[in-house]
Amino acid sequence: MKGSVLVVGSGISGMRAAAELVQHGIKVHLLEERPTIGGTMAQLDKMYPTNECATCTQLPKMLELTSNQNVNIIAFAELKELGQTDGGFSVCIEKKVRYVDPLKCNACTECFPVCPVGGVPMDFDLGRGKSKAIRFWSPFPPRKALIDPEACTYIKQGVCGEGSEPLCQKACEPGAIDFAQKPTEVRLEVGAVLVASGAEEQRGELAERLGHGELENVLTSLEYERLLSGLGPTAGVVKRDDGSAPRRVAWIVCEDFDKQKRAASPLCFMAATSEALGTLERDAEAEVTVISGGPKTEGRGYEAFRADAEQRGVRFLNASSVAVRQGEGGGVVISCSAASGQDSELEADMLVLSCPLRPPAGFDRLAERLGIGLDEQGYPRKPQGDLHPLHTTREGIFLCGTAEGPKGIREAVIQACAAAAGATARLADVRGTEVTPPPAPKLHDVRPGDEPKIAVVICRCGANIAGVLDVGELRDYVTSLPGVARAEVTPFGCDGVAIKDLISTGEYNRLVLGACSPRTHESLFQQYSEAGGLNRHLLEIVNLRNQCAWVHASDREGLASKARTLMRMGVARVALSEPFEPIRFPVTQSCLVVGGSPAGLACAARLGEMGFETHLVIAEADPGAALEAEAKAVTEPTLSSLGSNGKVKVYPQARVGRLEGYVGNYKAEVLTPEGPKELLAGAVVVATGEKMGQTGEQGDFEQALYLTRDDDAFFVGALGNLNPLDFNTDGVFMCGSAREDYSAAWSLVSGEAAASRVATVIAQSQAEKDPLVSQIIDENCDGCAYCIEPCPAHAITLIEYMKKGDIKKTVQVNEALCKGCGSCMATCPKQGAYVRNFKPEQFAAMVRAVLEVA
Amino acid sequence: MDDQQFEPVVVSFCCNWCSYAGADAAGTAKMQYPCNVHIIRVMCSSMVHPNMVVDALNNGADGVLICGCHPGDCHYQDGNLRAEKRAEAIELMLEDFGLEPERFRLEWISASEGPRFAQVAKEMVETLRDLGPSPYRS
Ligand SMILES: Cc1cc2nc3c(=O)[nH]c(=O)nc-3n(C[C@H](O)[C@H](O)[C@H](O)COP(=O)(O)OP(=O)(O)OC[C@H]3O[C@@H](n4cnc5c(N)ncnc54)[C@H](O)[C@@H]3O)c2cc1C
Ligand code: SF4
Ligand code: SF4
Ligand code: FES
Repeated sequence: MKGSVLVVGSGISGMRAAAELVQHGIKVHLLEERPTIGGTMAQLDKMYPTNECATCTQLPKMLELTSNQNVNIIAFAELKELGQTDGGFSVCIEKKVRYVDPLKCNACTECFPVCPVGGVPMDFDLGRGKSKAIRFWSPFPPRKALIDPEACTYIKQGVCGEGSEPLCQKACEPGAIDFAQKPTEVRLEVGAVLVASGAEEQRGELAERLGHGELENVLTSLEYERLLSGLGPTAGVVKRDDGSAPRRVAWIVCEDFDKQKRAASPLCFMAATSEALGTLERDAEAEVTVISGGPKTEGRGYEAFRADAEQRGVRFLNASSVAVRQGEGGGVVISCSAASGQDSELEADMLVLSCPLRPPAGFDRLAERLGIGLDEQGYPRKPQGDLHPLHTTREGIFLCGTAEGPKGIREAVIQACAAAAGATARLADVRGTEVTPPPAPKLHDVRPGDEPKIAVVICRCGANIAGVLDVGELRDYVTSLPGVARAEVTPFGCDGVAIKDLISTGEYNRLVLGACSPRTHESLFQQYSEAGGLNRHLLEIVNLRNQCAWVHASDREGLASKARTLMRMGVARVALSEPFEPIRFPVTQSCLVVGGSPAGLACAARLGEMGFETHLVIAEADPGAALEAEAKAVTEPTLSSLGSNGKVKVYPQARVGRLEGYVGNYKAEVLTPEGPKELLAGAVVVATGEKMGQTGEQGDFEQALYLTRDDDAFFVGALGNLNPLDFNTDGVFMCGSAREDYSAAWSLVSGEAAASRVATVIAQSQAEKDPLVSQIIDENCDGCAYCIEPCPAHAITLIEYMKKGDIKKTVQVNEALCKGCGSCMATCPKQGAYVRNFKPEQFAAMVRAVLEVA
Repeated sequence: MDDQQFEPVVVSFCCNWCSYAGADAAGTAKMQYPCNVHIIRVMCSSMVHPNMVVDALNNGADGVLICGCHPGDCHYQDGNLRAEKRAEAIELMLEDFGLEPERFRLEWISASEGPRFAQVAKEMVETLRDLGPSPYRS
């Protein structure tokens, strides 16, 4: 059996499952049919129920995956075969033809303007955005060009513009464009498969009846999301087909009017509400109406989100049937019949249809190749029903996300974690065998006090930078700056050649790159820097492209001076930067699960199957004794596997007393009938199941872990749709009815998901983290403790010590916990705290560099 | 200084997770905004000490713009709300220094709000052009 997994589909479910699995020590092959990753979430503007920006939330996760050496992203490819091997699977994948070699393409975009074929509809924008025949498929990774063979006249007729030579090929410096490219085959061996192929808006008959594709200004929900998105075809401004702004927008939750069948999932209703809110945020005067069979808000926080939307002006209209016709001036008239028999008519400038989600086109073919059975709706059949909603008919193939059924992102994430836990449990014996740690770099010895010898590399980025900025002149200018020992221009910094060549000479102890954005390229450039021998924290990226060349191209003189200023700022900062090793701390590879709820039992059982020592503390005399009949039935198999391999130790009639420590290193006192027992755990799961009020003293440890509850007595977790089971306290997780009112089956799923979260913490005996954390300057800190409360990580504690016979106070930062946000630094009135490489001196130096006239 | 030619200098602290990415998105969309705004990347808007703002202004910057994630989007839960609280302190400090309140601005900008970043940058520069140079400018 191989310690690797094939994940099919790279939407948020596939991405999340991949991220969990690599942290468990499992290698991941992430297969995606589209040319870029991210799935549906990448197309959304804001998300219910948190109103978070989807891009802000998802992009960092995409970048993490693309820079992880144990995640193999195979985009624009198709699964051809899935054979059975000794306990695992053999995989055959075909990479589709993109006419561009992704290994050579450096995303310079030189080829786009020269391509004579424009107006090509972009699938990512559902045809609403237009591009050239050669283009990026979306703004998301992998950022590699590809040619649309349907649009390219050279491919179709052998002509390009006036001639017969493809113009893009001539413009492409690295020679990436390859019209003779053939599909290529990839063969893999994996131990398990995760199906995360998602679902699509079903536009069929229903949407047609409601005017989609026929009437003007009738869109689907996803089309509307693209209009709301700042990265969409209208840059976030909602426009009608004729370009005018709509004042009245209505939504119809279609499924509710499909022969009066109520939608099974709150997704459509909630997404419509979220879009209505987004519309109001852009135009407070807009009239927005959501028409449905009635509010559908099952899920924690959903009703509050709806109520808030209503309070802010979203109108909700209940109807029993709807009909739609074109009105005047491209408007839409919606006739609604109410259950009460009252009919009404509503005029709108734009109508948005929330179409039901169904498995994507071609899913039956995928299912056939996977060898899994489908149900009548075309979703994968679940042989064990609700008992194991993530199991398919073929052993070793798991499901998650909307591939399992319509649901929101939060639920998709929980399933992704649970499916990952399932796969890791299956591969427990081979965990860690396929992953490689990042290569340990051999670094030059740089001391904080060393005089800076700064190497500067200015990237032409094809013509992106050099086309509007005289980079030679900039190089000459930079050479004159204090500390700069050498400056060079390179055609493409992202090929790493110039960086490695310069740095490996050992002559320089700092590096400044004038290039693209650190948000997208920092980890790549850091790798190059360390390959050359320079610690990653001695690199500074100056964003000459996104924040200079591209935004000031219309003012060449201003641009040149701005570029000089930005380079001065970068040089000033890096001169004061210091090298750091990652922070490493030991981790106890075991877990404490508190509570014998179905979720707690499922979590402990899963952890045991994954091979982790687990302590399950329950109030009952017997696991499962206090469960209601339904929960008992669902939990049965879980109970029988509890402790079957000796990994799970149950502490009956017990509760947790004292608890202290931090992520990876908790120490708990368990009060058992035989007396108190002390145990160590790397992570803690809260699965207490009861709500406060019903429980007495169960929660002694809650305060120690900074856990709080909301008005409904559910625990308050970390913010955000992508962290449903996490607390703000690292290494502590929740599941089951500690988090929300779940069915017994969902409780199990959430328990298994929590097991995955735990495994990300305890899979390795040593944790490694970013060293750019807060430091306390003892001479400045007088222990006023102002910084303690603002720290979101609870990383700061007050300590007292003796100095020259006096008691002195100061604070201490737990580096394992600190997230480097700098809130302490900004709170401290005495300059007692700073974040490494974000020192006040560095900011001051940058500000001086701005103000110094070039 | 001739008012017509006055080009204000703006220092902008943008949080890594949303606003800096929003400024990047303005670039990707090739939105043009005046060169006067200089972005300094911070991990979170809550990293910006009021002294950093005041020092920049005292040293001659004409305006300071802090950009963070929208409420609820902060990578560190509520750093942006802390920044908002500190903004009140900053405003009082400006008053003490005899600086106009328009010289400081705190804005929420998401990773997809490139147009908004460009817009805010433009507005800020226009306001400062009207206001004239900072009295601390040498
Ligand atoms: C209009 C709309 C608005 C929404 N708004 C919200 C919201 O505000 N809040 C919220 O929580 N949820 C919202 N949702 C739901 C949310 O989008 C989904 O829960 C989530 O995106 C599901 O992610 P996923 O990874 O399971 O599937 P997807 O995002 O659909 O990803 C599936 C991926 O698999 C790929 N794929 C498909 N078939 C294959 C194949 N054969 N081989 C390889 N790859 C394949 C697809 O290309 C895709 O990239 C909304 C959905 C829609 C449609
Ligand atoms: S010119 Fe070549 S390298 Fe540049 S984006 Fe196009 S294909 Fe990629
Ligand atoms: S940098 Fe942020 S997380 Fe770290 S100690 Fe300071 S406030 Fe806490
Ligand atoms: S991370 Fe953007 S404001 Fe905190």
